[in-house]
Amino acid sequence: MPGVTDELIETLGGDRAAVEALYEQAYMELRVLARRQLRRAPGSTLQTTEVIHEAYVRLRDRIHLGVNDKTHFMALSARAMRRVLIDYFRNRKAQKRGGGALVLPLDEGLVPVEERGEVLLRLDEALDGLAEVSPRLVQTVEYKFFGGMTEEEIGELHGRSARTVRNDWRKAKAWLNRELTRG
Amino acid sequence: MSEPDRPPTAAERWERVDEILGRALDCPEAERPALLDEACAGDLELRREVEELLAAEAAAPTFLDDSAAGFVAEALVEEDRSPGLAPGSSLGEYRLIREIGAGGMSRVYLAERESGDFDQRVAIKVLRAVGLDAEHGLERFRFERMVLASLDHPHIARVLSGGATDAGLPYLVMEHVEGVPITSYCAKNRLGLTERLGLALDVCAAVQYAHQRLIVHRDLKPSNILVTEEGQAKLLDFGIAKLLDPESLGLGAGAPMTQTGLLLMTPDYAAPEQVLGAEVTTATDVYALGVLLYELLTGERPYRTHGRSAATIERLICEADPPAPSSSASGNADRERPIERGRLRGDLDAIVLKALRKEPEARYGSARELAADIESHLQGLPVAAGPTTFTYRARKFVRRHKLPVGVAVMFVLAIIGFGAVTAWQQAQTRRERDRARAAEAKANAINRFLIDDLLGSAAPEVAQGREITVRQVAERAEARLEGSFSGQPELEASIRRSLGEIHLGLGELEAAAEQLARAESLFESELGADHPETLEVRRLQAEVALTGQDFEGALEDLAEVAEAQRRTLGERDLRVRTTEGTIARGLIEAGEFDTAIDQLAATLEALEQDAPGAWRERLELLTLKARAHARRREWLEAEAVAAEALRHQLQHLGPDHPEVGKTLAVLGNAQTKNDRYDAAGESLEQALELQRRVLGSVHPDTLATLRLLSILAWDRGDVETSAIYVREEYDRALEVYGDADPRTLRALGMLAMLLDRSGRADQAKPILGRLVDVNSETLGPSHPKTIRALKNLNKFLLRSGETAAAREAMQRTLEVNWERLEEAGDDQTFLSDFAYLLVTCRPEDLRDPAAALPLAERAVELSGRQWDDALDTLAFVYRGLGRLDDAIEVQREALELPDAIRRGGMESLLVDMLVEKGDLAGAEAMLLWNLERRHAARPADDPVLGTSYRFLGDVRAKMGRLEEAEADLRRAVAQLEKTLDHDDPLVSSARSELGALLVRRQRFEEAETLLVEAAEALAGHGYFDWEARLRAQAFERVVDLYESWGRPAEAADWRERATIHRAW
Repeated sequence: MPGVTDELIETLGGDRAAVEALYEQAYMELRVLARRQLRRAPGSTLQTTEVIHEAYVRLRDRIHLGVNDKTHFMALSARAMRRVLIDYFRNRKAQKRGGGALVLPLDEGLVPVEERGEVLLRLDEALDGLAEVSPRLVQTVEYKFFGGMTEEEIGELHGRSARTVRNDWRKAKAWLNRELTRG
Repeated sequence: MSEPDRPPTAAERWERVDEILGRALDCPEAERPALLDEACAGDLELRREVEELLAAEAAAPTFLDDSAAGFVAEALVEEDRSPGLAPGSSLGEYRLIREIGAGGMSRVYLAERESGDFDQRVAIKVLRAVGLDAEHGLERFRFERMVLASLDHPHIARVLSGGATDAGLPYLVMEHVEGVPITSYCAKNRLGLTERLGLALDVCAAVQYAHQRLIVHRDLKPSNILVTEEGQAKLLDFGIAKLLDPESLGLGAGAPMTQTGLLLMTPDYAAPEQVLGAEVTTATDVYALGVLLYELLTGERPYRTHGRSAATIERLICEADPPAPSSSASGNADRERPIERGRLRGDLDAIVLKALRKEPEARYGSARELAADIESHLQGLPVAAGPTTFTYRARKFVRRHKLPVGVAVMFVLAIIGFGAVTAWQQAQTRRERDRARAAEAKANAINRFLIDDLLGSAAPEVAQGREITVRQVAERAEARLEGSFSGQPELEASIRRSLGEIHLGLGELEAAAEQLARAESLFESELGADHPETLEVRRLQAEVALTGQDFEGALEDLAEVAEAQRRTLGERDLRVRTTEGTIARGLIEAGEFDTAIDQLAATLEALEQDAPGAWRERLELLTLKARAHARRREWLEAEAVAAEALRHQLQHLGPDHPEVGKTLAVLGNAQTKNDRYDAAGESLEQALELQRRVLGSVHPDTLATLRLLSILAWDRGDVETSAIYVREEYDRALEVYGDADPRTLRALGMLAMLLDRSGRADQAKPILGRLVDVNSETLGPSHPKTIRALKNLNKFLLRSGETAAAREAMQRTLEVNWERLEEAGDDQTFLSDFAYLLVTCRPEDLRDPAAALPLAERAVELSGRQWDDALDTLAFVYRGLGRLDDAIEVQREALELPDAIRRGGMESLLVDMLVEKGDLAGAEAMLLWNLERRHAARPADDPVLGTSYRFLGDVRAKMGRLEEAEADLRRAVAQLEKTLDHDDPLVSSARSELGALLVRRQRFEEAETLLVEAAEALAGHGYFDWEARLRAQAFERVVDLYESWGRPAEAADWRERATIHRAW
């Protein structure tokens, strides 16, 4: 027994594990991302595994296609998170949603829990609209809101200053809030 | 700005809004109007839009600054507060029979094992997620669960395992206790004082046992203390209250219980410190024991809380003095007192009141002290709680004569864990081998010695409250052995042999060698050199040598032993088979797997013919064979053999034998390697549960299983769980082996890696540095482990951008590798790794493929070209040297080895190189072969198969074989759609590729649907470079289609759309 496991550990700790276990690595990074996102949400560990797993399944094959650097990975993860969450709520609410304005209280705590999925779906639609005029802002939203990345990290990935990212983020929020509250 | 001849598009318009909005957001609100006046220059609509957006930004809801997952987390959770689980539904390996209880924090179900192998009913407690914070909750839960599972006491209901439901709610599987609350039991059976106190003593013993493991119950009360029909008290829910306490999990700090806890807990049993939200310690449980005793003696609780407000209850518990048991409930005439007042006056009043003191430090120091006083009272001796004049003397007296319960239990556990099992097995084996009555008597004498003398000799130390290790016991036995058997050298030899085996089992090779050498010389002078006993000891000596890595010497000796056995016992004797088994083990350790497997097959066959009933030997051989296959990385064979071994073991040894644990571990490991993760998890969890129970938490086998579980979790991509297992392994290893032991360091290294991977780099860095230092000190600067530690440090530094330090670490790594080359010139692993390092290390200017070449070639040669890593390394080296043909050849050879099926990268690398070379036919043949192989070995819906088909379609299209290429691409699409959405970029781009092929085949209408759909789907996906690339490709293909089809207007439309998308 010890012999076998020793060998396993050597394999794991060795250089090749990183090359070889691309899937695994992807999954792990994704989990880090998701953990960061769920950090501020007590009581929410429950679906994490499922959500992340699904995101991972979506991701892993693309990674094989050559997405091999961190930028791409983070971007993909954020995108995967958006898709997973949206799909989740879309499936749960099979019936057609009505349009109309949402009343969005400023404070997160005041958005009733049962309406949050709906809000997220509306946000997704608004993002689709934004994509037609500014994919860059959509990307910022995905990185920050769905991917849980900080402005500094986003800036680093794209060689932009955190300040620029912050400015983009505020523009995106402006757009999204206008769309969400529009009648 | 916009061109005069057409209105601006939405995107162009946004460009202006974007620019002005950006500036406006950047400047103070007061200056905005001026800015807008200037920037919008009279364009009222523009200005209105910017103002609208500025207002929207100011009013944007805060959740946007949270995270999406955080925002909806509760909505996700909401569903999990579903009512209950239906009878008949499954939870892990159990099927629920019915719900048997529900509380604010949990539901309890009666359940049974789904597989009918073991007829075991269990209680499953499904916890509500309250208090489990996202970051640490489940992790903590898993850890606590492990701790709880280590509790093994006759009066504690055991935690067997646990997990999470589909909805993610954590649950614990526990021993199902059929019983009634202790108070009801006493009342129903009208127990007298002595019997009641006896039950209380059992409860104290259980509590003390847990306290010694630093587990506090926190919620002791009659409903958690059941008594079975046989009168056995069983404590439920140890440590669970802690799992449910938000504070203990790092949530809301210091919230007093009155706000939340009192509503959830039975207030009558809560100690003042619980009510006040102060620290909960073992003294808290002592208080609850006091309440329990009170209720057992009086039928009442110290305070009447029913119907009172929380504030009143709090005041009662924290301030009021409870009436002494003898004077309680004086006004309650309609209730019969279980014990008359007079018998409680004095000692018992004093005992109960001492346990109920408000200040934790004024109560009994431990449950054991409380128990000691109860016992003293039962024996008519003075109690500690009594008049102070007696206290000191009484305590001394009590201490001198009592055996601390928990320590004694621990001692017995240790004996069972390490020594007794081995001894028992030996005795069994011996009984089978030597059928003579003399041998029987000898075995009995040994057993007597082990049980009476060893256990007896340890007792004084136990009384001193010190933990006894088996090592100490063995040493003591050895000291005793001198002279005890002066007239019975043969018996002494047998015992020394047993002790030698115990030392061997503990990995104490020197001590083992010493005992065995003495046994050998005794046997030899008594019975002769060729006597079976002497030969058996020689075989054991060879085992010690094998464990000490002296393969050559051991194998030579074993060959001699086998030879002598054949001569004296005959070819067909079982003992020859045993020795052959040891030889096979030596061959495995020496790396000669093929010879070992052949040897094992022959031995197993001989066994089958000569002694089909010799299941023990058979088992040993099967286990070895599984190991040999594992070392050969033939995981399918390893799994099959291990499964066979397990079947035999379950049949002959029963489900609780330590060997079953070992085999389960081997099986689980093979299943992990075969990607059968669920099965692997089941095997390993089962192994762990068994080993904890039978061997204890710190046994090397238990640690090995923890490691395998961490590897499984790692392979599954569950880095968090992996880290939990490794952390436990590390903690235990630290406890047992100390901080400089290789086993501890290995766990530590693994932990560092996992911390790093899970984003806790700051915690990983000091560990990595420490690993380099300790390894360098203890193992030497050029030891492989030191080198690995250095490499890990280098990688870590590179990642965190500390380039100079990383470079330094890499230079040092290369230097020590060169030094090491002198002595390790024939070690294939070293050579391959070093060569690989030389062509892949970073910073890149340190690379040196020319120097790597001879090393890589030598490694390949040494491995007999059977090791894919070595071949892969060589291919890398050739590539680095620009020798494409050689690289292709070697890469192909590597891909053809069985292990490579798990490696996704090799195939695409090889296709690339073959296409680069222009060898399309070769690429096609390779892909076909690999596809066939993957179909046989991978899950049917694995998207990897889809990408393989795409490669194949590409290659064939390049070859002009369009019909086949079409079929391939169709398969690729179908395969990818098994796991991915219809509009997934990956699926879309495969569909687009198929469309392009159809265009080449002039099937425009069909192509149009595919291409347009794919392009539309990808239009929503172009946010990232690679997606944008796919999208651009898809759009160009649509343009192509319409041009080839002779529909220029549509072509122009799509070209324009493509331009718009390209713009960003």
